[in-house]
Formats: sequence, structure tokens, C-alpha cells
Amino acid sequence: MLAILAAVVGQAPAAWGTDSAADDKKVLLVLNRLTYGPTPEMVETVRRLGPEAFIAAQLAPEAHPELADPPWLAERLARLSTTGLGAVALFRQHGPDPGPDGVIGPEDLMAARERTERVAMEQAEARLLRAVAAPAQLRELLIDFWTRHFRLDMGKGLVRLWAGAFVREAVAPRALGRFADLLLAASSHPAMLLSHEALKNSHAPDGAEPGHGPDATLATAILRRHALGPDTPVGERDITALTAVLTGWRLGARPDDESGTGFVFDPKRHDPRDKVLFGRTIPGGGWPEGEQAMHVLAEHPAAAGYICRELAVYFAADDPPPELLGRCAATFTASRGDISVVLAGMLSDPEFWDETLCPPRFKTAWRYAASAARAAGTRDFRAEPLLAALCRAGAAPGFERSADNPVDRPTARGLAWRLALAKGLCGGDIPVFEQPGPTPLLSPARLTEALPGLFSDKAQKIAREAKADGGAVLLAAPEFLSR
Amino acid sequence: MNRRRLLRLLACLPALALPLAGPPPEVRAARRGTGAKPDPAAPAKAPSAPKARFILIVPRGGPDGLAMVPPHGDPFYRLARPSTALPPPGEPGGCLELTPDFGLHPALGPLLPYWRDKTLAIAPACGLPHGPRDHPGALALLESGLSGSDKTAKAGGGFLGRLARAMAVKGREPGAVAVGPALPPVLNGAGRAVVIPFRQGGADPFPPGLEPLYAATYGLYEDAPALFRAFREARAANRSAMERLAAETRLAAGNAPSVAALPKMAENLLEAMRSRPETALGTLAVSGFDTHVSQGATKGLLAERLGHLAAGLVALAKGLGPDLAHTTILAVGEFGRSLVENAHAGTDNGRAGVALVLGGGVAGGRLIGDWPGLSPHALDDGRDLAVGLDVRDIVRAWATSRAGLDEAAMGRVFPGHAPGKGAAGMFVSPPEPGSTPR
Repeated sequence: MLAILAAVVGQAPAAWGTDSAADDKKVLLVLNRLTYGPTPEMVETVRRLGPEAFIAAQLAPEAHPELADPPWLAERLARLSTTGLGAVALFRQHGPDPGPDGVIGPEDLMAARERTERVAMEQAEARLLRAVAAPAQLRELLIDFWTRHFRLDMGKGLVRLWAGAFVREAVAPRALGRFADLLLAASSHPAMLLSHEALKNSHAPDGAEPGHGPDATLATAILRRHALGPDTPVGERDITALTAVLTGWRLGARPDDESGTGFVFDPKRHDPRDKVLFGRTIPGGGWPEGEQAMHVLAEHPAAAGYICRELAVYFAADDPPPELLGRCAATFTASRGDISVVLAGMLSDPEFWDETLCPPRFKTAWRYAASAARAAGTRDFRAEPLLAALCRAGAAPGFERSADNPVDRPTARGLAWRLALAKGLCGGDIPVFEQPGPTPLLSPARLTEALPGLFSDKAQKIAREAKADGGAVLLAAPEFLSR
Repeated sequence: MNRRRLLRLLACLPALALPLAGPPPEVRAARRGTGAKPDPAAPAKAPSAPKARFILIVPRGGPDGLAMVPPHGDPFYRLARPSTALPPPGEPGGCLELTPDFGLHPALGPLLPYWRDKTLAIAPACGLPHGPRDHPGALALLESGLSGSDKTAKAGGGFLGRLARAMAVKGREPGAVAVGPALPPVLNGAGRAVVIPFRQGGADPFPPGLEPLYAATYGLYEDAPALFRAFREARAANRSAMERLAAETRLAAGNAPSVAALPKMAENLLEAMRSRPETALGTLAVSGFDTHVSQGATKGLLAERLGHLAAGLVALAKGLGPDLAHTTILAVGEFGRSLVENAHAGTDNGRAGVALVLGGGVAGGRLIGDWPGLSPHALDDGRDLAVGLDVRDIVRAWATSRAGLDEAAMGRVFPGHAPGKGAAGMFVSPPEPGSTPR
């Protein structure tokens, strides 16, 4: 794999390190595509290792101790009191509390809503801390990708409470693993079950009590949004079959057990019959049917095309080259949905790095904020003011106002928000960096030196003329607004 | 020195200004007053000083209570405010500690000794529970002391006017003094109100906001047509927003002098009260708190203006000397500001603000009134800090426990207001005659 990567990213291994301007460009390209943005430290790392070794390590962070969270970051994450809790613990410690009267009244619900918002804020802070500072950046981006892919309905109280647990328990451990495993973990997480009305879905043999029966909401979401994509025709029979597989998927935990996700399988509510999903028979067998069904979906040809397209749109281009997609889908099928293999293939594809086929793209508000904090290259940063700025844009993780946010695009609002953030960060009005007042970390001189090759001569000249606003000018330059 | 400058200077010196500035203010006020005229048959002997005095200071524009008394430990506060949240005590630029959950803006630090010796009480969520969020409307309502539903805010006179009438002894009202450009509506109806003329030219400077950065970055996008279009649109929108906000801020200031003049106005008020010992009520209004743009946090625009506010209050308290023991100062704006910061690093008109209550008989060193909290469901209209203490309850508590008025009298001062318990016990009873002032 190393050799393939070398052949592509560096054109030829010998070329690396011979032309410093070309090297700078490659370093920035790699960091803009595969991280939340270049930091002075990571620029050095990629220079030292070369792009191919850097990418190989990022694809296998577990095998590289240097990509573990540094102690200072682990310590800051540990200070957040709720981001280590699983779904059951979150529910018991922060969910609605009936109090001594045993009834959950409106007051109890209001109090729970407030606790839920605090939990959601801590989760957003953890995501921001890791986006800015985690060394395993590619995995962080994949966690972001999958969290958006498996979008939860955050309007529901318990879903909000569990959104962080969903990321930690279902997504993060499998972000670079097998798609079928990820699909099963995400689909069966309590946050997902509640998000898609799965508790309504139960087996109703003839004569069962009214109001109980199959509910296809979760099955439809899995088929259309999670696995095969909205463009794949799915028949009624397949929806019914998957719905039947999902019957009996419920929530619960023993009083003495607070460690699990809170998923339980209830055989009494499960449809015991055999199911036929996309022509493949899943013999009635209870909970293991779920795993078999997810494998059927992950091996469906449409899944390879859909997931690869989504990945390419996230990492490469709004409109990825069809040949690149074809090769990725083939890798997906051949590797039986191994995401790290699919990504290794994509990142070793010449078209992925071809800037005419995959031109630079406007950063979303979330990625812009993270990249600006990363450009300063310091561990002494406060997450809260930056999160507050993101909340203002409706773009803090877990607090997104809508899937299609105009601030994420090069609109007037999007640009105004970035200019205000750039000015606030550089001038110290948004106190992300420890020193009060203008931060030297984002001065034009420091930025151009620490991120060589990023800023055009024109932007540097305008920044010099802008004096006190010079740093903000660079952070507002087109080359920093896009990645 | 030209004539205008001389006049302005003289206007600052009330004793000298009287013979020069036309008819004495008493006469003008009496012509304008709608209430009881001074009784010509009243005995001419020097009236005795009232046992309790009340001074209302209105920092106009809607001062940001959440910056004055930041709930620094509340994550809803910090996440709502990228640039205007005060850091907790102990952090660089942090606020001063009042209680474990609330701090005091460092610019208000000169007031901390009064908090410590329990002469200063603070209501962190004070205001009128209903009413408009526009400055003239909210100010009219505050000065009228009426309920938000009452459309007669302007016709009903001012609450200090009604208070003066309620305090009348044998038909004779206590004196009332305002320092400012004109008789403020809050004194409408007071029979013996005087105005100590105080004018100050020029408005508070309005910050430029993002325009300098827009001007600097213009050349960046010329080669990127889509960005350039968005840039020009954003700049035009920013300019029109700035014009709108500047106009609103001018409207909020009205003819009130800048808060920078507060120490000087306080001196004039003290001077007027000394020369009219029968004065029981005083008021003045200053501008500068409509911080829609570049509000700042520890430092910056609001911090500077809060510094003037603190200096003015301290000048008043120090100038009163032993008289502070029977003089109560209430500083409160027409409303507070939005929890969430706006696009211009400022805050918009909100609901509850902070009331500072300083001086005579205040059982201070503590926060008074309820704290509704900042969680989304607790906000007024889902956006602003809700009112935890009706400002009229403070005036009521003062009048009943310090000025000897009964609830029936206060019902006439604040018609339609159902008294709450929020301010109960915030004043101690006045000292017995003959005892030593504090």
C-alpha cells in the first residue's frame, strides 16, 4: 500500500524533498483533505514522514501510538463529566427523574431538558477539542462523516441525551472498520431506535392486541439513508422483510447494569418467521437475524456505490469523478465493505489528488472554525468561545439547525460569519487563545511562516496593509476559506 | 472661550447658572407639572429634611445585565456569547466574585466595597415582566411605572411624580430634583420638581464594527466571482445593519448625556440636594448602554461605560457621606439584553437586566429576586433572560419600609401592579431619630 500511495501522492518517491515549493503544496493538499486543516506541527510531520507514511499511519491509528491522544488532551476531555458515560448511565444520571412522587411531571421534564442540553454541550465541546487537537485526524473526520451519515432526529429529548453515546458507542469504534458492523451498531443503538420510532415496531400475529404491529420507519431509514441510498429502488417486500427482522429491538437494562448501550432484544415481540431480503433467505432466529440482514445490505451492489459516493463527496469533491467512484466501489465489494481498505484505495487514486477533477471546496462553518483554531497551533485554547461562535451559525456539532445551512456555503451570511470569526479570533475579542488581546499566533508573519505555501502573495500584501486586521485578512483569504 | 462653550460650562454649575439661564428651574417645572402646585399658604419656615431619600439613575439603552453580573458558571451563558461572556473569577480577565455562581464585571469593581459592607444589593434579573423591546416604549413604561398592558403609560404621569404626591405631608410634597436636559417623564406629576440643567453635546461614539475589515479584504476576492458576489452582498448588509443600529442607539440615548458625564451629574445632583434640604427624590438618566456592536467583555466599549457608571455611583455615595444612610440609590435601565450575541459582537434588546440598589437601609451583600435561569425553556419569548424581580417591588419595598408609606398609598403609585415578595426584607427599618448614622 505504501508503494501505491507513494506513486500517487508524491508522483515518485524520489521527488519528495527535492522541490520545496512543490512539497509545500503537497503537504497542504494532504492536510486540507485528510485533516481538519494544517497545523504548524502537522506540516512538520508530513514533511518529515512524507505524505505516504503520514496517510498510512492515519489509516491505522491504533497501530501508531504517536497518534493516541496526548496526555494534555486526554486530561481536558476527562474534565467533561458526561462524555465518558454510556447511554444507560446517561439516562439514569441525567434523564427524566420522577422524583419522590414517582410521576414524571412537566417540571421534571423541564429539568431533564436542561440536563440534556448540558450533556449535548459537553459532547459538542469534546468533538471540538478532538477536531482541533486529536492526532488521529482522519479518524476524527470519519467520525464526523458517519455521524452525519447516520443523522439522528435531535428534536427528540432522549435522542439528544444519547447523541454523544451514539457517537462513542456505535460510530467511533467502527469508523474505520467494516461497514456491516457499523450499520448494525448504529441501527441498534437506543438513540437510533428512538430517532426512528423503532419501539412501535413489534410482531402482531393475528388476534394480537390492537395498536401493536410492524412499523417500517427504521427499516426505511436504514435502506434509504444508511445503506443503499435514496436512488436505489426498494420494493415493499424488502421493507417488510427488514421491518420484521427489526421487531423486538427494544430498550432496557438491568438495575445493576449501567455499562451497556441499553439495547435489548425481546423475543416475545419478534417475528419468528423466515425473511427474504433482496432474494436472500434469513432464517427466523431472533437477534442474529439483524447481523445477517446488515450483511445482506452491505453486500448489495448499491451499498458499495452509495457509500463510496458519500465518502468521495466528503473527502474529494462535490461531484466526484465517475472513474474514481467505480474503482472505489470495486474495492468496497472486494474487501467486503472494509472502510479502511476502501479509503486506502481512494487515497491512492491519482484522480483523488487531481485538483482539476477535485477542485478545492468551501469549508463548512464547522471545518472553518476548526481549521482556524488549528492554524494557531497551540494547546492553550478555549473551546467554549469557538463553540459559541459555531452555535451562532447553527453549526456546532449536535446543534445543527438544518442539514442544509446557508452559512456552510459561500453566501453573504457565510462570508459575514467567517469575517467576524476571523476578526474575533485574531483580535482576541473571541477569547479562544489564552493571551488577552490580539494573538501573535494568528499574526500574518506567524501564519505565513508556520503554514508555508498556503497564502498567496496578494493575500500577504493585503494582510500587511491591513495592519492590525492582518491575521483576519489571511483567515478570510479564499485559500483559507476552502480546502 | 466662545459663548457656547461658556454657556455649556456654566450649565454644569447650577448655582451660577440660575441667574443666567432664564427663569429659575422651579418656575419652569411648576408650569409643566401636572400635579399639585406648591401650596402658597404653606409656612415659609425652612422645611426639615425628609428622613428617607430616593435617587433613581437610569442608564439608558438597556445595559447588559449578563455582563454586569455574569452567571459565569452557566454553560448556557458561555455558549450563547462568543465575545461578550466574562470569564469566571481567577481566569485571565475574569469577573470578580460575588457568589459562587455570579460575578461582578471588573469595571464595576469600585462598587465591590459596598457589596462587602452590605450597603449594595443586586437584583440579577430585574425589570418589567412585560412590555415593548423598543427603547422609547420601554423607557416610557419604566418611567410610568405602569403595567405593560396599560396604554396610558404617557398620560398617567411618572412613578416618581406619584410617589412625591404620596409622600406629601399635610399637603406639602417633598422636593424632587432631576439633573439633565429637561424634566424627565418619571417626575411628571410631582408638584415641586426642579431640573438642574445639564446638557452635553455630541453622542456616544458608535463603533465601526466589521466595516474596516470589509474595506481591507475587498481586494481578496476579485478573482473569485462567487466569493466576490457574496462579499459585496455581505458588506452591503453590514452597512445597512450598522446604519439601522446606529439610528436605534441614537434613539435610545435620546437627549440624555453620555454616562461619561455621570460623575459630574452626580456632583450637580448632590449640590442641588444640599441647597434644597427638603428634597426627597432625585433622578438622572445617562446614555451609552445600547451595545449592539462590539460590546466587548472584560475590556471594550461596555466595560468603559460600566466604569463610568461605577465612578458615578461611587461619586454619589461618597458625596452623600453620612447622608448615604438615609438615601437609597436605584440604578436600573429600561430592559436588559438578549442572551445570545448578535452578528456584530454585540447584544440586542432583551428583557431582564440588573438593578443595583445602594445605600440607606439596604440589606445588601446579597442577590435579590429570583433567578429564572438561562436554559432555553426558562427564557422570555424563548430568547431573553426573564424577569425574576419586578423593579416596582424594589420601589415599593423602599417606600413601605423606609419612607413610611402604606400598601394602599403604594397601590396608587403603582396602579395595576400586584406586589410580589421578591424584594421583601431587602431594606432594614430606618434608624430611630437620634441614633448615630452608619
